[in-house]
Amino acid sequence: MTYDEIKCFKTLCRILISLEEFSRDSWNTLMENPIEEYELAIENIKVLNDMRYPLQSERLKEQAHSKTESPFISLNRPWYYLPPIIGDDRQFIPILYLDFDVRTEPHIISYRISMLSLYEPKLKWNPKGIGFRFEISHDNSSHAYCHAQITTDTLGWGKPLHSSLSWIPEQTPCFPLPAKCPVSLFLSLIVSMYGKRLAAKIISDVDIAKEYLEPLKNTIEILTD
Amino acid sequence: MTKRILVYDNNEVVMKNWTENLSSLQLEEIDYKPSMLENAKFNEIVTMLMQRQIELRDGNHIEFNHDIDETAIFIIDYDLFNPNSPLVATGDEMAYLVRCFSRCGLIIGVNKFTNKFDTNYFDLAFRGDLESFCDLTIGEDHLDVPGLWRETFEDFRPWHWPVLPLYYESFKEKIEEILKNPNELICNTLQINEKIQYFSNSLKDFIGNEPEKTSFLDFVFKSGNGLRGRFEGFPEELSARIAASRISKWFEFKVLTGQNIFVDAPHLASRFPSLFSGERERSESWNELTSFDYDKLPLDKEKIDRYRFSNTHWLSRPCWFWEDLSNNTEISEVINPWDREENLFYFCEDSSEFYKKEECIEFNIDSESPYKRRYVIQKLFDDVNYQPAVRLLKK
Repeated sequence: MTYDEIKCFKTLCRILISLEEFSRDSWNTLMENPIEEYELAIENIKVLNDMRYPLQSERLKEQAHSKTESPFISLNRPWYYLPPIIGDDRQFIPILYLDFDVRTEPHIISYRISMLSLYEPKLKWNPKGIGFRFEISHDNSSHAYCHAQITTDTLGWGKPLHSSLSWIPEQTPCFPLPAKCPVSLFLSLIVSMYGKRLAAKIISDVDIAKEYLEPLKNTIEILTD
Repeated sequence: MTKRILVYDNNEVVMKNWTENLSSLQLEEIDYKPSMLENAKFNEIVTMLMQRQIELRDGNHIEFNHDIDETAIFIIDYDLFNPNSPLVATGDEMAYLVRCFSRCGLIIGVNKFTNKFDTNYFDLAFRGDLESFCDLTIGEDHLDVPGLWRETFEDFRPWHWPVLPLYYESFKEKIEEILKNPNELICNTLQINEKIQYFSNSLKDFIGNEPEKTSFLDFVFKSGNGLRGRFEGFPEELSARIAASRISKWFEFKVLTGQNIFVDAPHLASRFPSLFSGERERSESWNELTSFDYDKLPLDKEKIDRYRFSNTHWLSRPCWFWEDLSNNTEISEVINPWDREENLFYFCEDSSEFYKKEECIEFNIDSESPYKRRYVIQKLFDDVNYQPAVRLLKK
């Protein structure tokens, strides 16, 4: 392992731990002090918690701290719930799937966000979901840049969440992202989900080297201040 | 053999009232007989227990030859203040003495939270009152709730209560198990050795500095939640009783309460309705999930048996390891979450029964578990004080 890969892994883990704590606090606050605008989100996450046990922070820290000599972290079961979404899409519950494995070639560095909703207004049951893949540059391919794509495989089953989604194109478009490494890729993910101000707040206590923020410099100046 | 229930309040009128209420339950049918403890006798017991404490500190032998040692269930009021007889001021002080220096069975504290909650309350926070050495803390109006003494749940009957006669029998089994090997690790006995590292700090703290390596004896002498003070040659029998009582309380009223490490039948069926094998359209059929008898539970046990908590006397009701069970792809809600049926009925923690959602009110318990949302059927029990009321979520 190169120094950079281990440094990258440690930084990514620090961000994941901070984000998980922020997410847990946010959801706890919403559950204990519900506001009308988040009624659907709260109903959705209650049922989703029943379906998939939320990742406990102690398990995340154990994964993060035990593998520094052999950087590898995988988050897919239990579920890593991201913080509540702000704005019109707040009924959707964002869940993070993450694979970071630099032990083999090629490296596996893949983040996927699933956005799931179970209820419609008036609490009518109508499950739906979509996902987004955030991937590192694939050398020797047309996707030789950090990018994001739509995915219908929201639960990691290797097939669309629902057959009604099978028509959705998943290779194109392939949106370029202001990222050059796994950490800046993950930061791009956070900004995509929460905007630059909230992203800055989430990572404000995390020790992140400037080199990881540099690719986002021209896009999101608040993060690099 | 008839088991003694000893009742004490320093107000003899109140004490008589409680004893009569208990007598109305006809507990002799299940071999229990309540009787009052007169003030003079109470003071005698306090003095005797304090003397035992002194003897044991000096490393001397004691005899267990008092009525309190033959008592199955000791019911004691919290407020014992009496300027003419200031031996102990509270039921909790007495509970500590009784637990640590006698062979008494269960200790039930009464009216500890009267000022805050009144005598007929439902604690929405599910606090557990771990500081107290009482095995259960209730209000005086709860004493003659039939569901506290028998497995027939009607009307108001908090789900987190054990059934006391069953709890007493399991208490004896726990003591026996600990006595066979007092140096056994708590986590091994409770089958949580691989899981405790993932418990929240506030849950782990109770056991000791290194919960994974703490034995029952370590807990009693080193945790700060067992015996207080230094003793030479403290009898193993008493250590086992202290450990059984205190660990049980933590396990039952803190660990199980979260329903995230263990899950019991009503909560399991609520999360995975496909496991329910009863009549889905009838709430009475769902109510059968509250049986403490594993064989009577209307669940698809074939899919969940392997996750069952098998050291059953350590929990008052059948339970399963939730995280492991929730990964079982044989369960339809796990493999096809979008095809799950919506719940027709919701489990109400105050009545231990299922009701339609429009008849329930949600509340948040005080827990770090992600499953802190529960339900009560408040409108049925007007004479029950649901506190702290801020935890109720308005409709």
